[in-house]
Amino acid sequence: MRRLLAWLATVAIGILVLALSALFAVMQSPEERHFPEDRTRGLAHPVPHDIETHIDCNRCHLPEKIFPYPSDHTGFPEDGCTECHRPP
Amino acid sequence: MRLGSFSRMHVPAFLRGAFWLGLYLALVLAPLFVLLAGKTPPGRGFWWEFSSALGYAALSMMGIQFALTARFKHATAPFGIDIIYYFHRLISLLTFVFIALHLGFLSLASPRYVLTMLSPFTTSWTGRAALAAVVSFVLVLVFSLWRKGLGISYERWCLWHGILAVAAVAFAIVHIEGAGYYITAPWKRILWTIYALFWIGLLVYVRIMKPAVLLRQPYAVETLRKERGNAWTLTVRPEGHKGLSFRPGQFAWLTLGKSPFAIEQHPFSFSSSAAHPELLSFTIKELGDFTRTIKNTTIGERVYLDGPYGSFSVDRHRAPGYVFIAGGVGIAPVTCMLRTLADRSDRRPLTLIYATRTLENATFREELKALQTRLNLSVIQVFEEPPENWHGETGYPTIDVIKRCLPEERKNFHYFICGPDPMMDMVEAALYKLGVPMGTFHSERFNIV
Repeated sequence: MRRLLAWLATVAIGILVLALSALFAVMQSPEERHFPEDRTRGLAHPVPHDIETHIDCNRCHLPEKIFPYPSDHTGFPEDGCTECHRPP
Repeated sequence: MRLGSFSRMHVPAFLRGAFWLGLYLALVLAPLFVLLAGKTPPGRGFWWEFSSALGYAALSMMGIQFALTARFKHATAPFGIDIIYYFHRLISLLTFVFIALHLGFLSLASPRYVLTMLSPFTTSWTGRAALAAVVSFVLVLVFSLWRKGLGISYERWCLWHGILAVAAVAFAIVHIEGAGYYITAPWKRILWTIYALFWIGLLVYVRIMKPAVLLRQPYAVETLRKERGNAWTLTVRPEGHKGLSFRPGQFAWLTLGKSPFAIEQHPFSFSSSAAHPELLSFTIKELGDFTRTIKNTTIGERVYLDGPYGSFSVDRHRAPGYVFIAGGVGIAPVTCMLRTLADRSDRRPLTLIYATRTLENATFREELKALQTRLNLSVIQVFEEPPENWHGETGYPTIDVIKRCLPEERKNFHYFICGPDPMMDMVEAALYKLGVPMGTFHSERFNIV
């Protein structure tokens, strides 16, 4: 019986860890959640520089670059920044 | 009355068990909550993040394995230390599953990245640390699961188990410090450092502090007596201290003729009466590398004891009567309980079903007969190879044998089972089929690896 309880405790811990890890992954990956695009359109910060000479947003705004996009932008299309962020 | 004994008397075992299990869960899940707290760096996709979180959890579980085997008396008491070690083994397997998922999910997110990481020639030093951690951990598992098949002695296994486990955790810490994606915030780095120090502290406690305490409480071998069934009874006397008091049926970890700092320790049940702690006896059967050398012990030799441990005791399970089912040297803790009950002039009804291969192999045969005159005890012996003209039980303690031997008036009795693993499995299944409530039968298994 005690061995059975040890098994059950191990399974419960496994499920909890998996659930919490998945929750963390979802929170860090908003593409897994539904974001209606029209809700954010026009509300985003304007681009603080010109976009004629800075064509490729990913050169500076990927996670490992100097000005990374915020965590809740994970999963947004890489070429879709100007859908919401417009030049001044 | 000491505070410890007061708390043990008034807090039910299941509540204490729930508390320790809750604390374990909190320690395992803490890194995940830390990951979720505060400002996090940008995400890298669902599978990548799922993989990261599982990696952190796996490291946390690896580190807390040191706590499970640190033999904290209060933490192990509600469960029994044999189950803590069994749980330690299950958690190792679960940790391995999480490490495999960590790699698997990372492959889903970026197969090329994982291929680069897996090659020790192309990967970074962080990747090499991860590989070293995985290899060390896999070796820990392989050596533990198949020690006997691989022909590794228990003593050598103890040494390598410790070295590889420490290596696995150390390399994994280097890996996350190097990868460092989620511990860039200073407070998170401090928390992880505290967590790592906690694991190191556990090692220091187990390997230095605890043996240092034992060093001041040595024992000396008083007598060594040959018993029936290829067993020896080793009796030790405390030297310069009061010794330890224990509950009948408990056991201690014994280090013989060496410093208490030696890695090699062996668990043995007390076989002497708990009413006489001034002389402690252990009955040890010649079964393995260490136990075969017990006969070479010399009188006066230095011994160190870490104990007592275990919840396999009549004192932990009050009942109107008891049934003991023992096989082979499993009679040792049962004899300890019977001797103690006799010394206390206990008159509750007791039944002992004792299975051995032959009559000659029945350890304590004569003493059990003598104990029947001091206790309300009936002894039923079961022989695999019965002597001529034997009219008693034969074979193994099967359901039919147990059914015949159990006393008719046994309501609310508790059952204690100790012997070889297959016998205990058989007896537990038989008792369950006979309608004995699961909470009333107790067993202790020493076959840790």
